[in-house]
Amino acid sequence: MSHTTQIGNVAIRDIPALRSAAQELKDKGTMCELVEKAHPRLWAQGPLCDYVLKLPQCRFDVGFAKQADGSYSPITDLHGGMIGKEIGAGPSCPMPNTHEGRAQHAIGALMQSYTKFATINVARSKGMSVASARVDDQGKVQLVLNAA
Amino acid sequence: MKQVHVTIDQMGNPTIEGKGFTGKECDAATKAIEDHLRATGTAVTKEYKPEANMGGGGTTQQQTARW
Repeated sequence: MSHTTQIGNVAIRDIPALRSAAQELKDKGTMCELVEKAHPRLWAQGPLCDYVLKLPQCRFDVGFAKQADGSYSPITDLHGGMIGKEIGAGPSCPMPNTHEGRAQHAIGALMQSYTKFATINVARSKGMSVASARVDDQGKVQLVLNAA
Repeated sequence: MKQVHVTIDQMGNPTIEGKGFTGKECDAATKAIEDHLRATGTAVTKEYKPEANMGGGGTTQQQTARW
């Protein structure tokens, strides 16, 4: 039985931000590595992806499959909730009712970090500076940018 | 001080809020981030707080988006 899911409601375009997010997960203790041109481990053989987040302590990986519009869409396997235990949103984050919402929840920590770095990158490109970045007691990232 | 506050929930969904801006300044300050969101194909919705229409005071604007 396959639980392979392509998370179509997530579009990734900022690869440096994805790299930074992978590094941040690693710094926080998640064994992971972002590699290029690989097949993610899924229930079945995963497709060749430009980028794959390898998770050695998990049975599955997360691949990033290029879409027709040039963005990358995550593809992973939700079997057993294993991915969620590695890089999912925290237990205090409510589980969505939709399949795609649950899939996004399963890679929540990765997406939260990615969004932070992607926002910082675009802000800096527009002359803004980062005043502070912290995680609040609800597990949300609070990012403060000084206007140009 | 004019700042943009971005709150990112545990699933990576951002809420963008401008603080300390007057009138349309807030739109201009948050436009870059909003444009980036739109470029990713992300649906962006805006939510204006009442103080956004107050002249001279601290203008607040929120944008909620999925990345």
